[in-house]
Amino acid sequence: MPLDAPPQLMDLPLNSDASEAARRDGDIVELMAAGATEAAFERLAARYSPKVYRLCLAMLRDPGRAEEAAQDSLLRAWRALAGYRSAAGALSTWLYAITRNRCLTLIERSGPTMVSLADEAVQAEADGIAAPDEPRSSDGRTLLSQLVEALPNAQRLAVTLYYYEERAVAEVAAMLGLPEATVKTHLHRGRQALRARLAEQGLADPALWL
Amino acid sequence: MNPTRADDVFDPRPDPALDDALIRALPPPALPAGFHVRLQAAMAAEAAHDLACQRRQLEEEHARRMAALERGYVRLKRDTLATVLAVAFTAGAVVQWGVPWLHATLGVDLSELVPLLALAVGVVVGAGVWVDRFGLPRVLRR
Repeated sequence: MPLDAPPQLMDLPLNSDASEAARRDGDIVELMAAGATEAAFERLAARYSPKVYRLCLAMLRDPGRAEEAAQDSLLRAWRALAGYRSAAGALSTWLYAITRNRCLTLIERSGPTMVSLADEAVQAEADGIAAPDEPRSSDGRTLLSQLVEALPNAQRLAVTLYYYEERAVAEVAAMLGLPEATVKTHLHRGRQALRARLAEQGLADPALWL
Repeated sequence: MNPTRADDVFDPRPDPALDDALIRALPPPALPAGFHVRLQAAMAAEAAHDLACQRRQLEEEHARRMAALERGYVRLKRDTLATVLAVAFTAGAVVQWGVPWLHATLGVDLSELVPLLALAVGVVVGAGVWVDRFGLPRVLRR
């Protein structure tokens, strides 16, 4: 199946909060059932555009590409909305699946990124990696963001989206298409890794983080 | 990975200080300015593109059907002309050679009968074509 094909029933995660998500989007589903697809999509876009954009940004790490992917995902949802069946899962889960597939396609198409050490920013990054005992930034907030960026991808996505989504594990699980327990595991491990990395940088004292 | 075990060790706020720091370090990014305007524009462009595609497909289909109709019409005219010519020449040949031969052989003068016979055949065939196209005349319908 192509990565950017509309999600099928089997692609949708069985989430314990699926019914809650379905209830939340009940008004949109009702509009669709009444044949008001355009109004339904307007409401869907107003409600989920920020979340879709944040998911894209977390996955792609580039605001420009994230906006492009978010727009494209919403357009695909618009095209496929008439074919959506609520029995297949919550509307938000369906939309997140479209978004994830779109981002994965973009990641796959872009391939491995080649960087040159001639680039000053890359050189600075390389110097930081070569000297891990020295904090790379005097700004604790920036340093923490950099450490989050350096986490393994699954942990980075879980941690980033958890804080983007006001610490709602169920929402992060729906966005990533993972069981909540798995998201919690990634969060737990990500935080442990951050703690350890901060300690390595000589920043075990929380007062230095902010 | 064992989710159940992980669930047991998970504490939503295991480290309030780290949690607070991450809340400040990872604020939710806002949608880019004009996001919804660009989305609406993309939807409108797509709708216009769909309409243009539909129109192009319909025009192509129309042109295909017209070409097929034209080909059928030309073939019909050609066949009809060939039939008329064949019948006319056959009739001419029959009158030229068949009638004198019958008159000489059988002593029958068909110079009056053959045109009447041709007229009858013509009327029957013409009436058949007419009925085939337009149906029986109202007076003959039940």
